[in-house]
Amino acid sequence: MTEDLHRPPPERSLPVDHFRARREHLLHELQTAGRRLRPRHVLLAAAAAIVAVVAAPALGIGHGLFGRLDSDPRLPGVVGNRVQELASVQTPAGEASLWIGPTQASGRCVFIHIGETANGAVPTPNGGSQCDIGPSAPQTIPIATDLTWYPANGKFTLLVDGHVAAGSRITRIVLESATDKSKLPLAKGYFLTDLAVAPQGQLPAAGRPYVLVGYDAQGQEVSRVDLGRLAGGDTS
Amino acid sequence: MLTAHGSASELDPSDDALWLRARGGDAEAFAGLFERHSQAIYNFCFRRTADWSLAEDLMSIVFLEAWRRREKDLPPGMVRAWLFGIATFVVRNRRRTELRYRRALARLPRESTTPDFAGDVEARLADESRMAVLLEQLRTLPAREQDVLALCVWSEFSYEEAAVALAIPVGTVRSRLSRARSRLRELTATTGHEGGEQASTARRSP
Repeated sequence: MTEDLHRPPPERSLPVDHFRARREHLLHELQTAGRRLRPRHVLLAAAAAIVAVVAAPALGIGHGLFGRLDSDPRLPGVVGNRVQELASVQTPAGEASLWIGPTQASGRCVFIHIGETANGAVPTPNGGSQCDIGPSAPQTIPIATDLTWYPANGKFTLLVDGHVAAGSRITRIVLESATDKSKLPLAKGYFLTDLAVAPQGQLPAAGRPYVLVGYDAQGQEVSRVDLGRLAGGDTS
Repeated sequence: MLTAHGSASELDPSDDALWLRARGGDAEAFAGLFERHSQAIYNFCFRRTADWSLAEDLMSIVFLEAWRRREKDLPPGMVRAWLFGIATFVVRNRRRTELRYRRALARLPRESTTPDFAGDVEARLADESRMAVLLEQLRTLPAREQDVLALCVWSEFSYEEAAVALAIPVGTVRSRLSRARSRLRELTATTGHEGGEQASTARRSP
């Protein structure tokens, strides 16, 4: 070493006019900081606005838009401004989303919307719907499942949606095929997924058999649904 | 109120009292802390960068950052140590903090950024050259040992003050300082330089 680390150059004072300018600058910044909108705040405000638009249905906001569902004959008696999204999935036909809304007579409608719903677009039951106008009877099977074949690019995409019974102990739903296993998101007991291209009324040729398996919190199998059988006896 | 280069008298409020008021949003009280500690922070920033001009900007950033963190509840008598802790953070994360405060710095009056060190310009240039050599040596140590050495040796912090500044236990300050000294002794031995060990002991709290 050629220099002594213990002897740095002596301390020096900030020139008086620099000191004064820095002090005034600091005071000015402190006093205006609360009034100045930072870029980060602008971003947060924009994000909040987006969240508000997306969450509006869940919050019961946007009656003007969602109120149109009230008059949709495919959703008899639904309370349009209380409809909320449960799940969504990308399909060859575009985004598919699963929606639920109460009816005026304490029943419920569940429907699938195909297409974008961002930017406040109103969902429609163009992917199928199922309604209980009055109070629903308790679900007696652990996993209730529906299959919907939806046109996509001259073929069909197979949507699988369903509901897990409240008393079934099922906490996890897994879609199993010959080649893959995938856990499906559960929202209030509902799930939605897509098996991509399939002939109408049939399962995709590749990957059979397709089975939905429900597991409890300990990982024990509770119930399973063979989609081939549900599609019409085709289990191979 | 203090003068630009004055020190606190008995009539002046303590750092703790000023900090308490600053925490409540009193900008003038915070400016009082600036008047009291800015010179020390300025010199500390210079010793960590070897650049007087940069040290001036970093000093401003230290106080802007301290104001941003003013909800911090500090142990009695530790405002100065905490400010040095922020200075350490600002120097270490220079690029990030400069980016955060670039707009604020851009609002500085233009004339104040013009150097007016006419009287000691040569001395300051010599300082920068010498400090650059020292920093090169300091950087042979791990960053956390550099921080402890800069506080305990260059700024004469007690172990307790350094512990508050760096948010680490007092024992860690001791061990890091001890390791830093050992490494420096090894370096001195290999290069044949006799170091000024007498100045290297950290000041202990009473």
